[in-house]
Amino acid sequence: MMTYILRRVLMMIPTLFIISVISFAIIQLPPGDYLTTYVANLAQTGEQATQAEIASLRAQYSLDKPIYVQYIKWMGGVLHGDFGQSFSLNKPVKDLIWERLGLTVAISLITILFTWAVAVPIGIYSATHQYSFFDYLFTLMGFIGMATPAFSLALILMYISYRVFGTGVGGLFSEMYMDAPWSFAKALDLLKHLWVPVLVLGIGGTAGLIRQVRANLLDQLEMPYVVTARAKGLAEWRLLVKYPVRIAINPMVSTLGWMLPQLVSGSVIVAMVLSLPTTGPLMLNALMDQDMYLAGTFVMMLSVLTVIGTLISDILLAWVDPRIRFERQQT
Amino acid sequence: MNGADNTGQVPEESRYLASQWRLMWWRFLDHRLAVVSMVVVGLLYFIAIFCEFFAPAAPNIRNATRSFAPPQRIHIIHEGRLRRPFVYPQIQNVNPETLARTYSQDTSKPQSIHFLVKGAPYRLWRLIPMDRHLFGLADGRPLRLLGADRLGRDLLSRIIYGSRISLSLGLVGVAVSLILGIIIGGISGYYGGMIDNLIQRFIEILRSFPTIPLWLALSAAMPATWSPVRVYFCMTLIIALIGWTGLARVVRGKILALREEDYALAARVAGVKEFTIIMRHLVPGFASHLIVSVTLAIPGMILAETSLSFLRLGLRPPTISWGVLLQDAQNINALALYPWLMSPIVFVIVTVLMFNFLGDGLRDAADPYSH
Amino acid sequence: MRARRVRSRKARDARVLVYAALLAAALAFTHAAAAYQEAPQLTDLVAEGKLPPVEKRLPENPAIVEPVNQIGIYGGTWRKLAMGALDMQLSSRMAYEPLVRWDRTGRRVVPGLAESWEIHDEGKTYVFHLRKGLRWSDGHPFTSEDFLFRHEDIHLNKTLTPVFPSWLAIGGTPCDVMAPDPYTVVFQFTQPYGVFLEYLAFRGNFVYSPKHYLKQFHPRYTDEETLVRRAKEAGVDLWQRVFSQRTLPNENPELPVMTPWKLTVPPPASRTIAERNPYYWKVDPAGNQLPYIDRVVFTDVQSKEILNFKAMAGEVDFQARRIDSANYTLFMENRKQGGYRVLRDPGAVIVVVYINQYSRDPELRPLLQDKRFRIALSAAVNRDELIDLIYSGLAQPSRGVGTPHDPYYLPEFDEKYIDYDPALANQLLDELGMARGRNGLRRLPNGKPFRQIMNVYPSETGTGADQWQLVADYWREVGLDFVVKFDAASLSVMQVCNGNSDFWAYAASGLHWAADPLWYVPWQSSSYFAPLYGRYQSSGGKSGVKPSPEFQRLIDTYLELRASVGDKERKRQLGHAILRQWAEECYTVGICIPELLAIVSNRFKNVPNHIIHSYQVMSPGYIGVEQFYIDESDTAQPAEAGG
Repeated sequence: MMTYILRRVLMMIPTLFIISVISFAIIQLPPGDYLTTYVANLAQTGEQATQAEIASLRAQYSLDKPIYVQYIKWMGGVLHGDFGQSFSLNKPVKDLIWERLGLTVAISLITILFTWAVAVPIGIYSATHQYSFFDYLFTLMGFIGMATPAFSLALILMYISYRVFGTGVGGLFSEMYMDAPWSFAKALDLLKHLWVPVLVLGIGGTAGLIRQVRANLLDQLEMPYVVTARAKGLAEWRLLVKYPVRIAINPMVSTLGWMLPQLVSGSVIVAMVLSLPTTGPLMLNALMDQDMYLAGTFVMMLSVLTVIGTLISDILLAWVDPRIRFERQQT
Repeated sequence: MNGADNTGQVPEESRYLASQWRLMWWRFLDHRLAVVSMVVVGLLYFIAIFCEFFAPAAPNIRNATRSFAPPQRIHIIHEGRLRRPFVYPQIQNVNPETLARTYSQDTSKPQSIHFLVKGAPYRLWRLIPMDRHLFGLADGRPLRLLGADRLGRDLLSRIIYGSRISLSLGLVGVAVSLILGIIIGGISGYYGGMIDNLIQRFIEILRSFPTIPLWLALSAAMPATWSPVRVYFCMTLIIALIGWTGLARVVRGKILALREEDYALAARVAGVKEFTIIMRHLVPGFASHLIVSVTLAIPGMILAETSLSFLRLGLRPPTISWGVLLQDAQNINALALYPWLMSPIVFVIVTVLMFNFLGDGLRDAADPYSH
Repeated sequence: MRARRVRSRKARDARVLVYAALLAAALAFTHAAAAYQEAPQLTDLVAEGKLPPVEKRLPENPAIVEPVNQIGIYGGTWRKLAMGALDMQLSSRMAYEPLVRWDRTGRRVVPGLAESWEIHDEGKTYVFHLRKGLRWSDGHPFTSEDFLFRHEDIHLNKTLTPVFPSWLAIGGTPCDVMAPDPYTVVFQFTQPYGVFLEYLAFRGNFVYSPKHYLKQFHPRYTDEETLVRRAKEAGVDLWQRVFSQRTLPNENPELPVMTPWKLTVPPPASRTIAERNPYYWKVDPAGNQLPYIDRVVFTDVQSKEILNFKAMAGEVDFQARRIDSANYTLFMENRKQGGYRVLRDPGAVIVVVYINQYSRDPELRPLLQDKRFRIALSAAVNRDELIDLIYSGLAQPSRGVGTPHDPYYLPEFDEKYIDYDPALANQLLDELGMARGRNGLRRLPNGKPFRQIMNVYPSETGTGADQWQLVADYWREVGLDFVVKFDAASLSVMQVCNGNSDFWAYAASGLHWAADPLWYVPWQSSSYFAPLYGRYQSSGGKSGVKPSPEFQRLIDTYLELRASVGDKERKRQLGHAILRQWAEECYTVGICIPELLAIVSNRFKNVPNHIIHSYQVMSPGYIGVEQFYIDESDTAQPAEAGG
C-alpha cells in the first residue's frame, strides 16, 4: 500500500507541472490582459493613454515579457510561497485568498455533512423499501431539489427567508452582529442565515447521492450472497450494514476526494446570488478582470486540490473495496 | 485491439443477447411510473420537434400593451352559461405613482379557444410554410396562458420554442460524452497498466480544471460573428467536454471491479477475446449503472445550460432556450412582481424528473438480478 | 424659522433640547470664534486632551455650508452598500473636496478649498488663495506645498504617472504649478484655458496630496534602502506599488484626508467604516462643525441583485449607486414597509449607439459617413415604445446631443429625427441604393449583404440585453441586419478606441461636456464616435486619421471655446454651434435619458428633492454630503410621497 501511494505521489509531479502550464495558459486565452481593463477604466474617467505610456505600464506589471518568462517568474514565486500581487486589489494574492478561505471551507464542510447525513439514511430506506410511498416521496423531493437551478432556488429561498422570517437579505450575519465578537446570539444569528446556502448547495448533491446509494444498494441486495445470508436467518439490520451498505457506498467514497476542491471554491454561482463573502465571487471577478496572478492562483489551486483529491479517492477506493488489486496497476 | 474483428461472429450469442434486451423491455413495462415518464419525455421531444405548430404565437412578437401581463385564466362559464373554453381580454392599467402595471379583465368579451386555429404564419423547420397552430384564439389574437415578459411576448410560446434547443442540447451533449466515456473508460479499466495510467492522468488533468474558468475561456474564444447554430453546437461540445470524464471514471471503476469477477475470469480462461469480454460480458454487467449515470447526465446538461446562461456565458437572446428565459427570472422584480416569469423552472424540473424516473425504470429493468 | 421647527416637533429628547439651547447661543454670537460647536464625542476628546479645541482645528475662515433644509443634529450612522472597494468612492463622489466646486444647481463654480481666485494673462495663469489654517485629518497644516508635491513628485514622475493628466496639459504641454506662499497656488498654462475652473470643479480633488505623509514612500525624500525594505514588507517588488497603495483613500486608513469622513476599517471587510474627520473645515451657518453624521458604514455585497434587494428591504440610508431603475415599482411598493422614499430624476447620461465616423472597413465607411444613413437609423427607432417597454416609462427620449442639465443644451437639439418614422427611414435607405434582398434585408450599395455587429458595452442594469435586441429589431424592420454582441467591459472599450467597433451601444455624458470634450469633439481615442480622428488630435497627428473638414470644424470651434475666458456670450454661441452640428448631422443614434433613482431613508435629512446624477458633479458630492444628518425620531413616520 505504501509503495502504491508513493508511486502515485511521484506521478503527480509531471501532472502538476502540466496543470500549472495550462492554468497559466487558460488565463491568457481570452483576448487582452489586465492592462486592457486598466486602460478601459482610465478611459472611463476621461483619461487617455498613449502607446508609449501603455508600454511603460506593461513593463511595470511585467506584462511586456513573453508568456513563458512571465510563467517562470510566477512559478518561481509560487515555489517560495509567493503567489504574486493582485493587480486590481493591490494586495498579495495569498492574503486575499486566505481571508476568505476559512468561511468558505466552513460552509462547504457543513454542506457536505448535511448532504451525507440526509442522503445515506434516505438512500438505505429507499432501497430497502423500494416503491413504497416514502421511497417515492423522498425520490420526488430529492429530484425536485436537484432539478431546480441553484441560482433560482437561492433567490427564491432568500426571498422567502426575508418575507417569512424577516432575516436580513444575503450575507451570513445581521448588521448588528457583523463586527461583534463571537457569542451565543451571534452563532444563532449565523444559523438563521446559514440554512439558505447550506440547503441550496446541499440539495443538488443530495438527490444524486440518494439515487446512488439506492441504486447501488439495490444491486447488492439482489446478490446471491445477500440472499444466502438472509436465508441463513441473519438479522436484517446486521445483514444490511455488514456488507451491502458498505459496498453500496463504495463508489461514493471514491467521490469523496473530488470534494476537496469544492471545499475551497464553494459554489461560485450560489455565493454570487447569496452575497456570501467566500472565495467564489473573488475568483469570478479575477477571471473577468484578467487579474492574472489572482486568477492563475485560483485555477492552479483548485486544479492541484483536484489532483490530490483524486489520489485520496483512489486510496479510499482501494481501502473500501479490497477486490481492486492495485498490484496489477503497478506492473 | 485484439477483439475488433469478431463482432457478429456467433449468431447464437447475438440471438441470446436480443432476447435479453426483450426481457428487459418487458420488465420495463411493469414499471408504471417509468412508462409514464417515457411517454412524457417523448411528448416533450415531440413538442420540441414541432414547436412552431404547438406554440400558440410566434416567440418574438412584442406588444407594448401587454408588458408583464399575467397569465390568462381559462374559463368555461360566461354569464352563468356553460360554453367552450375561453379567456377574457386583458386591459392594461398603469398606477401613476408606482408605475406598476396591472391588468383587468374585460368580462364582456369572452374569446373562445379553438383547436387547429389559423394564426401567425411560420415555416416548419424553416421549410414548410404553415399557419395552423394547435390551439389559439379565433382570429389570431394573442393568447397568454403563462403570461407575458417585459416586451409583452407570450411566455408559453417562448418556452415551447426554447425546449427545442434545451432538450436537444442535453441529448447531443450526452451522446458525445457517452461515446467518449465508454470507449476511453473501458480501455482504461480493462487494460490497466501503462494505458490506464496515461488515460487516468489525462482525465485527471482535464477534470482538475475548475469548470467556470474553462467556460469563461472557451466562451470568450467564440467569435462574435458566429451564427446562433454554431454557438449552440460549440456550447454542446463545451458541456460534453466536461461530462465525458465522469462517465469514463465510472466505467473504469466498474470494470476494474468486474474484471476480477469469476465469470470474466472464466471467459478469459475459455480463450474469449479481450474486446468481446468487455462488450459482451463486462458492459452488461454495469449497464444499469451506466443508464443511471446517463439519465442523470442529460438533465445535468440541461441544468448546465441554465447555469451558463446565468453567468452570461451561454446562449444569448435572440436565441431562445430555457436558460435564456430564466435569465429574465433572475431578479427580485420577477420574484416579487412577475412570478410567472419563473415558469420555465417548472419545465426544467418536470423534464429532469421525467428523465430520472425513466432512468430508474430502465435501471430496474436492466438489473440482471431483479425478480 | 428655526424656532418654528423646534416648536413643530412635540417629542424631542433631551439632547435636542441642549442642541436648541446651543443654537440660540450660536445665533447670538454668530461671528465670535467661541461660537463653534462640535460633535459630543469630539468634546470628550478635547476634554481628555487628545484633541485641540474646535476653534484651533477649524481654519480662520471656515467654509459655511448652507443646509438644504435645516440645521441638523449630530450623530448616527449612514448605511451604504458597496460591491468592492471602488464602490466606496471615498476619493470621488463621497469625498468631493476640490479647490473650487459646483454649487447645488450644478452650473456655477463656487469656492471650495480656495476661498478666492484670480485669472491673469487672458486665461493662462490661475491664482488660487487657500483658506488659512486648513488642516489634514491628522492635524497637519494643509498648504500649497501639497499641490506642489502632487504636481512635481506625482504627476511629473514618469514612474508613478505614466499618463500625465491631459486636462492639465493644454496644447500638450504640462502646466506649471507654483507655490509663492503657503496659501497661494498658481497654475500656469501655455495657452488660454477658459474651462479650467469647470474642470477643477469636476476633478479638483486630484491636484493635491498629503506631502507630509506620502514623502516617506517617495524616492525623492526617502533613501532607496528604506523603500526597498518597505516594498518587501508589503509583499511587492517595486516601490511605486507601495506608493500607489498608500495614496488610495478607499484602502489606506493612514492616509490623511480633507474629507468629512476618513477610513477607519479598510476593505476587504464585511463592513468598511469611515469615521468623522475631527479637522473637517466646514461649519453650518450656526457654527456647528460638520459633518453631522458620525460614520459611514459600507456593507459589502457580492452582487447587484442583492444590493437592490437590501435597498428594497430598507437597509440603506442614502444610496444611488447601483440602484436599478428597473426596480422602481418594487421600491415604491415597499417604501412604507422599508421606511424610505424614492427620488427619481433624469440622469446626465444618454443611452446612445455610436456610429464610427471613420470605419476601418472601406466599403462601409462612405455609408457610415452619409448623414442619410444615420438619420435613417435614428428615425427607425421607436423611442416611445422602447421607453415604455424597457424602462416602464422611466426615461425621456433623447437624440444624444446633451441633456437639459448642460449649460449649452437647447431643447431644439432634441426635435429633429427623434420621432418614430419608419417611412422616412426606408425612403432614405432606398435613396442610398440599399436595395432589399429576397429575405427582406437590405444590401450595401455595392450589392454585398449588410450584416453588422452591434457591440454592446455590458451595462450594469438588467435592461441591457432586451434594450439592444429591441433596437436591433427596429433596424431589422427597416431591413438592416444587426447582430447584438455583448463584450467584456474592458475589451469593449478597448476595441472601440482602436476604431474596431462600427456600431457601439453605450452611453454619452451630457453634462459639462465642454470641460471634458471627448463626447462631442474628436478629441482623443475615447471620442467613441470617431476614435481614429480623436487619436489623430490627441497624438498631434502622429497616429490615427486626419479628421475630415467637418470634424476639424468641431475641433476648431471647441479650441476657440476653450480659449475664451471672459466673454460668456461668445462661449455660449460656440457651445451651441458644436451641439447644433451634432443635432443636424446625427453622428450618434441617441435613444433616451434614463431616470435614476436614489433611495433615501425617512430618517435621513437635508436631501434635496431633485438630484443631478452625474460623475461630472460628483453627485451626491455637489450637494454637500457633510450636511446630511440623521433624525432617529423620524424612522417610524410614514413615507412621504417620493419627490
